[in-house]
Amino acid sequence: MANEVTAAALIAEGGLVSEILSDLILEQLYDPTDLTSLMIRVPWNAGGSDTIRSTLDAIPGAYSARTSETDGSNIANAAYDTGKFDLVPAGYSRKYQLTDLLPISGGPIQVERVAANLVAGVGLTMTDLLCALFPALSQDVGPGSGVDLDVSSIYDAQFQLNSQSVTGPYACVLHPQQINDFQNSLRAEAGAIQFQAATAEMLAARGPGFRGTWNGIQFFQSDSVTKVNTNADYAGAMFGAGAFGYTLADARLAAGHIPPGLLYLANEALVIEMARDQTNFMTSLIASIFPAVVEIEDLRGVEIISDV
Amino acid sequence: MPAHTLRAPKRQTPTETRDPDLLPVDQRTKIGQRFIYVHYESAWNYHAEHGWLPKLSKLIAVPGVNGVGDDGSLNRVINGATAKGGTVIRPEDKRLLQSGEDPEEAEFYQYGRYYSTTSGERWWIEPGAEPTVTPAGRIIWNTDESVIVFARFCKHLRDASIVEPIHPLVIAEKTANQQARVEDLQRRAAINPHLATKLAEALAVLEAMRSQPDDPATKADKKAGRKVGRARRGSVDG
Repeated sequence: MANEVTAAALIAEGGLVSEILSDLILEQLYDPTDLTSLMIRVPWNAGGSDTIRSTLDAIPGAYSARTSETDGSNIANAAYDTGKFDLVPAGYSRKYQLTDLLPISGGPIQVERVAANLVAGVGLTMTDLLCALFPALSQDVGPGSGVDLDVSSIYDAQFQLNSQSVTGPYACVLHPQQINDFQNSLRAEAGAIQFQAATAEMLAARGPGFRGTWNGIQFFQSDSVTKVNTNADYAGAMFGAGAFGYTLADARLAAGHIPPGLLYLANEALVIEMARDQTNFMTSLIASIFPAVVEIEDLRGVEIISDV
Repeated sequence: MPAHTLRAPKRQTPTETRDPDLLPVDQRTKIGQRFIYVHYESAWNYHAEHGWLPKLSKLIAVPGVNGVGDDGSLNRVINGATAKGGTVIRPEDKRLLQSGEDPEEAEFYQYGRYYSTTSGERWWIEPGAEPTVTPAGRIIWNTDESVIVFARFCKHLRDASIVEPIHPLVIAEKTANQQARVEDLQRRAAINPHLATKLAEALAVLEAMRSQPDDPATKADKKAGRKVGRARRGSVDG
């Protein structure tokens, strides 16, 4: 036989293409955890400085008994000790450059999708910044350097926060490895802990970020949790509300510098502008945010150090 | 254009796809950030070989974090740590030099060191950390060796008086915490047999904490012939 019309021949000589691009686009594996909501948001006021200072009010005190029925002068002035913390936003940007052949070729990766990708990066940045605060906490608990995280250490952290009168609910942010070790410790426990409904719940797999509630503590995991002790340990943290704060300086204000035709998106959180390189037939999408995070009150958080 | 010969071609092994001197990173890699150490008075760990060692916190110098600005200046964050009672371990502190060491080749002096990466960013490392890059581009850190170096670093901070010495009441507090951990494990070990090893280890640490107090006050007590019993207990306010 001869002159069969084969697919291979058509691909080689015309008539068929070797691949067609599916409309289906899947995400590559990454950790999309956004922990911004675990921090207190401090509204940004553009008032002539790159720094915003917030006040921590003085702690109310119990009254002192008078020592005399008639003479009030023996009441000494109480100190009104306020505190403060500063948020200093810094510019963070990300840029993608696209060739003109992308729209011409008609693939599924177009400007809109790239812009959506840039928007998703805001939460990832905030998570990175929050986790960078944990190693600076002055209090820490853990089973010991190089030892897997266990139930006792979680209790230690909880007790330590309670000892400081930190009000709940507590949030606990751990590296995925720490979560694995904690679950491993939980499932091996016999006794009172074993029969808590929350223990079964804590062992269940979930979506990204939130891992469940156990003992009233909300557990989150993130691969942004940093390593300490020369990469031997991870530094997660448990903390109560008000431990950490953030601001996102109003990115729309920067949009005033961008020619309207090149402004792709501007909102309170981020601005995306376009830049055209005519000689290379490229268009860039440049996204910018101006975040700041801060440890508001050190005693409201405790670092959890355990093996990688 | 007349015929001409190009000179001095650039060299690269055909199979080499990346610079071997750079740490390979991709979008998922979390790079070690620039940092400075700080020590808080109550942060001490018991080390089997070296006794009480300062536990160091890391102030990470990321713009936008704790007052670090676009210029990377750590002044605000250092002031904040100092206000909390922390002792900042400045990399340029001459006391970090070990006896007879040349500053250029010092082990701990100017501990802020980095490797360059394929993304152009710097990967900051802690004392003793050393990466090995596999052919597939995985980075493996020498944690078994680096923790030994890091323990020596912490010991040097203690011995060179770069950090305040541990207070006897902090020892008492830490010992009491360890005692509580032992008691907790003892309660649970009966129905959790897998905790037996942990209990034995915790007991050994507790015994070591009690038998080898190396705080100056206790040493002075011993030297003066005064009776040294269980670490003195204290309660903490504030």
